[in-house]
Amino acid sequence: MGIKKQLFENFAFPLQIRTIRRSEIGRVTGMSLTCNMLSGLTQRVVFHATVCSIVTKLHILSHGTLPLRAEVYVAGTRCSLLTNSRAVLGAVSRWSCSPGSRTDRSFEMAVMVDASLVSARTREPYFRGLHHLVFAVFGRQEFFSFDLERQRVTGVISAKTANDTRFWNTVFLPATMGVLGAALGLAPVDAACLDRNGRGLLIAGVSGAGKSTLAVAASQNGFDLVSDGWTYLARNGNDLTAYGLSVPVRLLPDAVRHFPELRNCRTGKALKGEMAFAADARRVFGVKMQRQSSPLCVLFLERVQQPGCDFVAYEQEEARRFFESSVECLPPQLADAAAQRSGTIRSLTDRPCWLLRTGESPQKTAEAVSRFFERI
Amino acid sequence: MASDTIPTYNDPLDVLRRFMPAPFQRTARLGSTNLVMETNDADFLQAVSAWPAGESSPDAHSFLWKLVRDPDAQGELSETMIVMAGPVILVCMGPACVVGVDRERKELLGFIGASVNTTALEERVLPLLMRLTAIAVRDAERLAMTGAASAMLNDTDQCLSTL
Repeated sequence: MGIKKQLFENFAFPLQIRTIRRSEIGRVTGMSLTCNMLSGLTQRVVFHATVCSIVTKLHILSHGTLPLRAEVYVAGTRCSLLTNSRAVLGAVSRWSCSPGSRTDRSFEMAVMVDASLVSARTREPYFRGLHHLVFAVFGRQEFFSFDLERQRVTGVISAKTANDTRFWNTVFLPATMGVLGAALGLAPVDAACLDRNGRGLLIAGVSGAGKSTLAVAASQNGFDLVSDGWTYLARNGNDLTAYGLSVPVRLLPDAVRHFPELRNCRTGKALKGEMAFAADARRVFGVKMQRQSSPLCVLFLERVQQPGCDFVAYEQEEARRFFESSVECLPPQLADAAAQRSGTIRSLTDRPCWLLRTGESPQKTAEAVSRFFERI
Repeated sequence: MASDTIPTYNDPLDVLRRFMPAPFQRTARLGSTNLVMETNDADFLQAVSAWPAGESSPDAHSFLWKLVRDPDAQGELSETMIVMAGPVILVCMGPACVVGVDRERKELLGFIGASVNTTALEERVLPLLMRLTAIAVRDAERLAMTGAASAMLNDTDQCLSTL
């Protein structure tokens, strides 16, 4: 079509309104941008309009709009879930409360599924917090907020995400417990947790020390696996309980040297963006999983060049400082939660703490840990 | 914001950027509301410079706006999503703009991405935040008069019509 003809047609019907989305500059004609510019120059008319505000979504989350509900039990905490989607209920069904699930810790989660939203979780999730509010954006439009003062999670997600069991169990629920944990009386600590006959062993250490590798190797050597990464501690009176979320173990790509089972697994991007195996420990390694344990002692793992495994008593105050420095700083508005979390960490580090210096393979180190644990 | 230092947010651990400094402060009047704005970006203060000055007395009945410019927030503003959930109103325009308005605590807290320029801020973000603040203030005043917390939580129809 020639420009003249196109101009004529557009002048004849100058107000063909196109849908204006995702743009701050909209055109109220059916012309191309070039024609608009040309007509602007020749006819001294401008068909551009600035769209100041486009409110495309307004969601009111209430008992009326979220008629479905379920009670789930995550890391020793009861979550009252409200939603408008059966898919969400299905995705979290593995956490359904059993009759014996009793706890004083609880929070509410209200999740609206908006079928018109597009799931585009191509980049890392965006987490930010101010005072008692924490925000999480997944992709462009899917959005959660965490109210630490009122122990409430609110979110709007796409239908695709609602159905994504992996998202719920390996990304969102762990993130929720990490963000909300302190406000619920939990102390999330960066440590693996193993269990043998109800007696727990925590393995801590700096990033890259080999906590996950040792946890997997120990799980193949008589221990049950509670958690390979974040462990959630709770004080129940004088007792201390460590909870895991049964999420896939994260192992760096070089772990395949120690675990041939990983040869059939693929690496992917973890939450922080690093490449790692995410392996279902039960399926890939055949290990037994537990959801909780009672920590008996803590091992701080340190890699050394010399062969052998040495266990050296570790200062409790040093251990406390380590865990305190690995948890998120809390604002003054959450001072009570911070104090409670510190109390829980102190309760953990009041238990025997050991420094494990190892220059051996994960399997040999696991054997040494197993023998050492039997003697405690 | 100073760009000559690259913060690591590891000491102390602050991956959520809760403790990003917000050294700039200004008080302004928004209708009958005394607004205290805290930010790390002087452009935000400039955007509200035309508003009449508010009371700086600590006793003044105030509404806090804490807006943090986040240089690490990626992307442009996307469509606006408003979520009303109990006493908190949430606004999300993608990672470039996330805001929460706590009607009970009279606080507006949020992060604005580096890609949001002054025009977008003045024409798109601030008008919405002003409206939400007006809703929050009205609710707080009604709560003070009646003492009925449940009325505030359930009355969303009025907010809808205002928007």
